[in-house]
Amino acid sequence: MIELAGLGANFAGFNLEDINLCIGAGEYFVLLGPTGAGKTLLLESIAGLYNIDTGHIYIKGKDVTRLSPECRQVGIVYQDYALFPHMDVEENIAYGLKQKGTPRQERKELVSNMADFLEVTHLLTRYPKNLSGGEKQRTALARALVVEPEILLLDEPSSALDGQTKKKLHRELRRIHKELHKTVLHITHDLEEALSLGDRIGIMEHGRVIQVGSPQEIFRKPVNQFVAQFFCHDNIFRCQVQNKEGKMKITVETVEFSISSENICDGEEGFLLIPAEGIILSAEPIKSSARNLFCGPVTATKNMGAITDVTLDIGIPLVAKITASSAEDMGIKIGDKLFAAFKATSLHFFS
Amino acid sequence: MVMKPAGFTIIFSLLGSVIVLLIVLPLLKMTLFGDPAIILETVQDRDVIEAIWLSLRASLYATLFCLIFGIPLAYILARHDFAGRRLIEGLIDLPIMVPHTAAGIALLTVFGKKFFAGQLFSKLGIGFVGRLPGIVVAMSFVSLPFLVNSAKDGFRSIDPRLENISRTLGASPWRTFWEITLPLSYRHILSGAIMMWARGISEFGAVVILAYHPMVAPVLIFERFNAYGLKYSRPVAVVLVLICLIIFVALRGLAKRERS
Repeated sequence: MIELAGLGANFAGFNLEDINLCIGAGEYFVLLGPTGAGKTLLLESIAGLYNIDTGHIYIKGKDVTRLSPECRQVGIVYQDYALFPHMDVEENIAYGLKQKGTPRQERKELVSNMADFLEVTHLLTRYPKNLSGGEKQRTALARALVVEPEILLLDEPSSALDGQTKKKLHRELRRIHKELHKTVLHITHDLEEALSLGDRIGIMEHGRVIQVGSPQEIFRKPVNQFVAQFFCHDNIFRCQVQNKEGKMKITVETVEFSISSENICDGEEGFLLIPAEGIILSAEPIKSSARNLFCGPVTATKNMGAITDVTLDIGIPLVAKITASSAEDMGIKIGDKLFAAFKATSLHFFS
Repeated sequence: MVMKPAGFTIIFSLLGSVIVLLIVLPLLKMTLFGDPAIILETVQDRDVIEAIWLSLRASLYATLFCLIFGIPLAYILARHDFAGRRLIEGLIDLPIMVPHTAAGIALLTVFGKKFFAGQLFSKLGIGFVGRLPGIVVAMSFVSLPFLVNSAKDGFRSIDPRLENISRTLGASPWRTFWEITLPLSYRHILSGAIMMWARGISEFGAVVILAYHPMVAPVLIFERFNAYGLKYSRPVAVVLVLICLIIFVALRGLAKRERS
């Protein structure tokens, strides 16, 4: 549906560099990255609001690189909604239909249907200044969707909303995606939002897309330290690979870990990721097939609501995430000696 | 809101009132202490009426001229960053800074009968020296910064993303300008146009060099002051000030009503 081939551009000193990306028809793709990564610029380039210097943009197989925005059939929703302040909700929603020359009666009908779909019918005569954040958001979505764009581009649509309204918007976006089967490109810096909405996620940093995959793939196997940290992994350690008696070991300071990866070489240096969610804790020695078994005192605990972070000193600080009820059952206290076990397959090495 | 100390507010109010008095006192003195009989006579003076009408008309033409050519310029300056933008912005502000008589001389060197542009327009039947077009050009030159700068501020105050959205919804750049940009910057443009018109009506220095005749109101005031003294120039000034005051209060009121 959308294909970006070698897209490159310079915008006042900021570069988008060699971006290659394919988003399938009907896919909900989330582009995740920190502020200043170039996400909005990429989105606006796809919409045709900026000219790119190199590469091509294809929409439904058609090269739209040099087409003006009005010819690309993309709908865009900005984070601050950008509703036309001099028009009421009905006029805002009808704007695109008016530009397309839709007859007045048909326009009225389409606006009414879309207003029903997004539950803004009772707001049609109101002006944007008299709407709440959620109402503005639904109006902006209605305005973008009523013209039936091929692609819906969402620029951090929930960043200005409070927690409850944000959750409601996520439900709404899932419903829109499910019922209208739109191809959606959603950009955000919110990891939770990306994980909860994206069929696939792309990670963006300094104007480059550095990893694309399913939320699980990226979570389990980040390509570099930046992605690992962005996914809030606690246990990322600088390490070295060593071949010991034919078995690959990873050494972090003086601690050795077993890993089952075929793509590492003896002497290679890089980073080791130990997913905190995959660590089993016990007060008794663990009988397990897991090849990584450690023991150490608890140095810190952190209650995160439903989850508790427990830090063990096994020569390096190792964080394990367990449910709060498990932590309570175990009666974990600072200084308690605990056993930890995790599988060699759960470890991930990256350079 | 943080409450300022009373003393602070009082001192600032006293200092500020000096400026208000500087404007109000001479106008009040001139307007209220004139001889009503002479003012009545002035109102019926054909030369005075013609001069004031010419001032209003010529300044209106100058404003319309600058609306047509100045709005696109203001939009380009507001929306595009290009080499030389600051230079052009400086050039637009220049008429505020140069003495207006100097501006008149500069215009004469271009639109005078002996010069290229003057000769070219003369072949088209348009004369500038001592003609209405000369007055319009002089008024445009000195008062265009008010319109262009105000329109530029108006365009800059609009979130460019509104225009982006309009484009993605199928509107061409022209339609976007007419349906989004212009309605949202309308107040700034109207305000700038009123200011420009007002400034044009009061223009003397540049006009007197390019077109002493036909006489606009400020030139007539100057001539009567030179020929007959304060007694006969003051009523003309009073009538001009009163007419301008009525028109501008009405226009401002209209603009305010539109805003609400």
